[in-house]
Amino acid sequence: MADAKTDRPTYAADYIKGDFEKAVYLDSVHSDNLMTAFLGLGAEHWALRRRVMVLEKFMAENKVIDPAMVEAYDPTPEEKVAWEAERDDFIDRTFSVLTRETDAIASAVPQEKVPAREAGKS
Amino acid sequence: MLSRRNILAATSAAATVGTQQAKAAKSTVDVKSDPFDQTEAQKEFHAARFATLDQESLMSFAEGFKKWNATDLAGRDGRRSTNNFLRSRGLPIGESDLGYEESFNVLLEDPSYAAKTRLERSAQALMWDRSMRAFHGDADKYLTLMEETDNAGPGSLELNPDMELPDYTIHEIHAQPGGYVGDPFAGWVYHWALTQAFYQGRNEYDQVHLSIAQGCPKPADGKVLRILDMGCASGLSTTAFKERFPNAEVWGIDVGGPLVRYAHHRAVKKDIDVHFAQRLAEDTKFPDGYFDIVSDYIMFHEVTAEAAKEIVSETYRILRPGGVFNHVDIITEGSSAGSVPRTIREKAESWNIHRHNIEPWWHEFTHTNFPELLRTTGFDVDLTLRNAKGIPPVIGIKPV
Repeated sequence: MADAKTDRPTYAADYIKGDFEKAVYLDSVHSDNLMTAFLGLGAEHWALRRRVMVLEKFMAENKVIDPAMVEAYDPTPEEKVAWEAERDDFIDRTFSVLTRETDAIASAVPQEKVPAREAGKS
Repeated sequence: MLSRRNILAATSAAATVGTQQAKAAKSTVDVKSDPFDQTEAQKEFHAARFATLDQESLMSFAEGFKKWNATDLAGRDGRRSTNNFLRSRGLPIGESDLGYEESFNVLLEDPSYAAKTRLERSAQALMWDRSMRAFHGDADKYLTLMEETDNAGPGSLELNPDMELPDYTIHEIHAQPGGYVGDPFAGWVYHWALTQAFYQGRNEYDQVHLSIAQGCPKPADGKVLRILDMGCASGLSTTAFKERFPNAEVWGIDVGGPLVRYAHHRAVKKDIDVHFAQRLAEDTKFPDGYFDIVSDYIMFHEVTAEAAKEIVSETYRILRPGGVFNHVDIITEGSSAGSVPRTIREKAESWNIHRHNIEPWWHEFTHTNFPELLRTTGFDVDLTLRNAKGIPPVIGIKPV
């Protein structure tokens, strides 16, 4: 970040610092840090993906792509809905592993018989 | 279409949403609208957008992740996992005598709950950090923007940099770096992070804040010429009241100087004639009986129980007989809309918010019987109202 020190009035006052950055919730601080880093990578990936979608939009229209056009692009209401759906799908397929059930494996060979898989359901 | 370069919406749209200014307020004009069914012009007027595509995309991720965390990891799957864990430990899924902190510590032994909590906190930090970087990374620009509007109208701005700030007001509430008072861009950051990502897409066009104003009942005589929005933060509900009552003199006050400074900047850019002042809600400086409506939105749970009593008394003083106190906040003792935490999971979540999201007075507030506090102060209380999205206001009416 840029150095924001300035002699200009900012009207900011002294405050009481929170201690939230010190908390550890998992089995080790490294696990906590890796989760945070993983989340940050997800955010960076989504920013790149969104930029690619804008580029693809202009490419499909055979436009000469000016970086300023990319920067200023405002999705249509339909694109907005579609992009948010894609974002939600990206988050779900990336992070849903965290919701898996973790019962201990109880038998030497799997025993649970389930219905045949349907086409189109991954 | 909205230009990303023009980060606060064009003023030309103001006329389309009924914010024409009335210089001499003589009669009540009530512009009713549906915050959840806005025209494209209204959406353009209310929308706020980051200055760059990447800033917008990073916040979009934070918004999406918070939604997924709430609905999946902490929601459906989280409840199932927590229930299985509690059963395995022989602990009740229903009401429990365990305390708040103890409940939280017990559930942290459930790997799913621990992961959920870690990601919740990390997502909150990511939301704040990326927003902070957006504004501090271009600090000169944003300081200049505020300097250009500090003394500009419409409306006015009163900053009190020498004001003594009570300790309870200077915490890093919501884990926002610097809190409400300590960062030069607190108002920008609060608006662009919290009121966008926190609401998980439901407040992109100020729908929540507009619904607070639209759902507020008028005094019985219908007269609404002066309105105060206490704890106004970035001023979204303040301008929402002006949109509904364009003839009224509308004030927003907040303890955070950087908050009201941004709120004023935003209002000037939108050509909305409202007044902002850095003042305490327990010491508003307004004359007795000055306001027809005093409103607060999610302010009281960030103040101590002692301050809450003082603020309710101050509200009573500055309302005129028949005036309306429109209070919208989390559920407390005495609420008609639900109960305070009873189960281990509810208590753990409550502790998580209180201690780990830095909301130091959360429990003091939830265990205050707020409707009763209003009654003992002299208000008649109405608990029957619901606004469009079911946020339950507590309405206090100062007897005539």
